[in-house]
Amino acid sequence: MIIPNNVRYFDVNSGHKTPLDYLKEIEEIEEIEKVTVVVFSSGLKNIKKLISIIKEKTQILFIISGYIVRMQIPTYEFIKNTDSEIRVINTHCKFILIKTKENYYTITSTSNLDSNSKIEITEISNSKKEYDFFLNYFIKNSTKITQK
Amino acid sequence: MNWKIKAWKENENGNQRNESKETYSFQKSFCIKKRKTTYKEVRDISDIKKIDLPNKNETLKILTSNNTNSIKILKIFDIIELSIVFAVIDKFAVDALKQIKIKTVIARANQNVLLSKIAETIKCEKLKKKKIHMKLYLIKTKDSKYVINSSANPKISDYTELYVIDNSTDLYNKLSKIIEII
Repeated sequence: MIIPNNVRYFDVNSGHKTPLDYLKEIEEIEEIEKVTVVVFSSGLKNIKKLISIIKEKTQILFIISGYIVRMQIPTYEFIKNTDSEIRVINTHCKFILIKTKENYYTITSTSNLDSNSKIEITEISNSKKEYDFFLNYFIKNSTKITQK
Repeated sequence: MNWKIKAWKENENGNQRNESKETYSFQKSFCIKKRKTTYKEVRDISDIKKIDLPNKNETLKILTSNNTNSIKILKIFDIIELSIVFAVIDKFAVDALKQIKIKTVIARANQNVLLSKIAETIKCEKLKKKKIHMKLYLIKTKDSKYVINSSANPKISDYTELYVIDNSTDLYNKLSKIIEII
């Protein structure tokens, strides 16, 4: 999927497609350089799925909520054992920010990474300005976790 | 089993919650033309009053923190009619919404009983209970149709929340049709 930079794509669905599915579609046609995942909640299964989609050399930045740190211990322990940078922020909104060689995608969704049967809405746009705004906000307002 | 272990086990099972077994299938995607977009951070509740709403066919994307909530955002608008879609609501939001003419409410079907009952007290033309997690506020004013697509439920939240405010008849109409058929 390539979203031109003059449109915004919306998807309202009940479990047919998750933000990870869109990430996979982008990965299949473009070379991803960096992925930033901002997430409130995630089961371990979905973090493993995320890692499996992304190529080994791709840089991943996890910006996770305190909920994951406190309540989703297997997920948090797994993320800590990756080589990825981890930051923590008190967030309820969910983003996947994807920098490819040529594009800057922002996927924002009411859905966490998991697939569920609840009706969710996802918006995807392709804009460097937007990508930079959200990335800078989350970096500026989060705390870096020192690993290992 | 204490609550911490219970949450852990839920997460190991892919974040399953105690949802109903109701099967429901809905999928609709569409594109709209991107227009001028402004980005803003709102750190303090008092800043909300200073927000300049987007002009016709423009978009405003806001990230909020520090106990801002969607009802405070709604108060910026001179609302004639509102449709609202959410997963969870609190009694403060219900009180505020009682003052507004509400066309449609779509609320999460199996949120806890208390909150469902509160949702039913909002006077509206149509109340639907669905397995829903998206949050939408479709606002009609005298001159414009606005859409707020948000991470935030109508409740107090001290999390960072996203509000995408579109002054767009096109997007309003597209999402109105969707919530009609959900």
